Amino acid sequence: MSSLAQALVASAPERLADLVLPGPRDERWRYSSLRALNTRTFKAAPSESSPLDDGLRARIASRSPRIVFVDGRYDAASSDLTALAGVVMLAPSSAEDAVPPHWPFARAAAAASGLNLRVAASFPSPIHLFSITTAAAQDTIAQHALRVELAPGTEASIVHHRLGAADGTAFLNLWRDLDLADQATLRWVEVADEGERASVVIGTRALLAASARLEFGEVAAGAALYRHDLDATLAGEQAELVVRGCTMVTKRRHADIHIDARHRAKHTRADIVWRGLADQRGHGIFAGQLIVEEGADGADAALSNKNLLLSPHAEIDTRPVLEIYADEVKAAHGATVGRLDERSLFYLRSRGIAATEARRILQLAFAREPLLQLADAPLREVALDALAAVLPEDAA
Amino acid sequence: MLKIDNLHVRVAGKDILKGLTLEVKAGEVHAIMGPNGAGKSTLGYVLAGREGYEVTQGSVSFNGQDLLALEPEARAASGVFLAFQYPVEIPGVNNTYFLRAAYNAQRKHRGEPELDSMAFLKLVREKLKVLHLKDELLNRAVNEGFSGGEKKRNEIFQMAVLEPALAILDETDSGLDIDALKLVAEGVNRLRSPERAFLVITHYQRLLDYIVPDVVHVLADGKIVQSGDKDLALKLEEEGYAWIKARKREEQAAFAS
Repeated sequence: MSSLAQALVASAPERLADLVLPGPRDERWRYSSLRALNTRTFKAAPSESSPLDDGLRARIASRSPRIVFVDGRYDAASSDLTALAGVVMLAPSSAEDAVPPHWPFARAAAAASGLNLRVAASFPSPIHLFSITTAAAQDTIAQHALRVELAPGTEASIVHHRLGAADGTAFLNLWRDLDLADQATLRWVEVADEGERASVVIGTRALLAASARLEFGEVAAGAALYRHDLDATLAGEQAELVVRGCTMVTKRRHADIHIDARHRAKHTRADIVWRGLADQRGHGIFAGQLIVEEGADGADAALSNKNLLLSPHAEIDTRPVLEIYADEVKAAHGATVGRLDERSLFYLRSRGIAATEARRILQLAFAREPLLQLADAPLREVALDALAAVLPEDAA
Repeated sequence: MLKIDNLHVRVAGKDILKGLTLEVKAGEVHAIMGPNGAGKSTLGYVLAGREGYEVTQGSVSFNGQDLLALEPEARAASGVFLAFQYPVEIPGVNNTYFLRAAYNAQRKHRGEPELDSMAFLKLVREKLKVLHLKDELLNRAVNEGFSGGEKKRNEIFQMAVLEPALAILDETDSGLDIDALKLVAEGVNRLRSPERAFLVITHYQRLLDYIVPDVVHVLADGKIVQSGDKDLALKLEEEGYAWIKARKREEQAAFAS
């Protein structure tokens, strides 16, 4: 077992003795090599998480209700559940029961720590979920699982914030299991403020019953290694998945996004729009897969991934895949990689806008477009703010 | 205000302007007419500073400074404005945001205080009214989904807000019906002032019925081949550009003999 795997399974070494991490020949991990991580020495997280410093406390204080994990441990003292009483129930994790075999990280995360969140009635405002890695967690594995269940007909919004130390070298491993009953609607936005030396692996599985709807938004700014797999199964008729995200990687940051949508029932709909920008030595990867299974007639599957390559040293890899085993399916997929339009740049400059600012305006406009389509206003704000933080005014 | 002397410009390895000389004084309106491929649009682009337009010879001075040495944004800040023949669509960038960024960038460049969003909105509303444009234009993305006429009017609107010293209109009349043409011309005429000069590039005389020029130049094969008053435009309209070519042939024949 590699040192990474050993540290990952430290909470249950016997049960997880057979854990095998993706190897160098695994095609799905082609652009997210674990080789560099395997040469490092990681510690398992301590059983008691360190208290949050004033800076972090101030950052989370304005966000409530909130559920806070610090270095992989649920932090009840920092959480604020008052508003959720009677609506959203928290329980110890049961996520370990349901981990998919292809995602070994999920087993490790679920065995380490976790929480079940059951939404019994609709909750109108966003619930903030924080996964924080502190400065104390250098070269440490921070991992936890989260299972979110929505009762039939309920609606909820979740913002998942990941906060890391600017120079943090922790390995964050998150597993999330989203279970949407009939006619439930879950809106989710994923934002992060992590240093460029952090490593992050996230697995998200979503199971949608009839007429359930998942709207998922993300701003991915990358890390030393950033990998997120979203695997959604549209199991009930008329279930719907909408994904709107963007990747913006600079410096030597890496972001590898995999989205799989499986149409298993009739008249299901998946609509995925992702944009990517890579500057300096950034590396952005997007793999989107739409699978329409036999019998899922009337499915509507659409996937679009457009990218901008902003520097000769940056890299973009994109792979849209469509697999259709049903008749009467509406499907569209496409991917492009291009450069910033010189005509647009000149147009802005000819009006007096300096070249660096003109570039920033055009990049921001390109990345914003999918996020502007997020239907929920508070979540859209969070996503747009996160994007503006990634593209600051002084650094185009 | 603007002095162009013996300007030679090469684009993609091809000589387009071949010794163009022109002087425009403050308060004047000059029309540049000429057949397709004469170099009219090249003149507009090279003055605004577009990349890929290589000046191989000659000079351009604008209010005493070497215009060609400046970046496009610095040219704009010093008062040069190009109304594009084909205005660029910029999805995701709000028209008001774009204009305010441009307006404040120019002011900052000149060391003037920036305008806050309330004061700026007041300014643009006034300009809209003058140009008979709808408020909703402000909330749309820059030129996105605009009709040809709307794009051209948006150019004139930008010009009205930015108040340049020298406005270059590159075929602003092309693709406009007569009503839109009148509106655009009215917008330009309102901005005419003793401190401001216009360079109106056009293929047809029609626009010059509404924007009456002080001087008309004929640009052919990269040079000004004839200059005159507004009647020259009418003569061109009657006789076509073939008349210029014929005249040039006569000159060459006379020179050869």
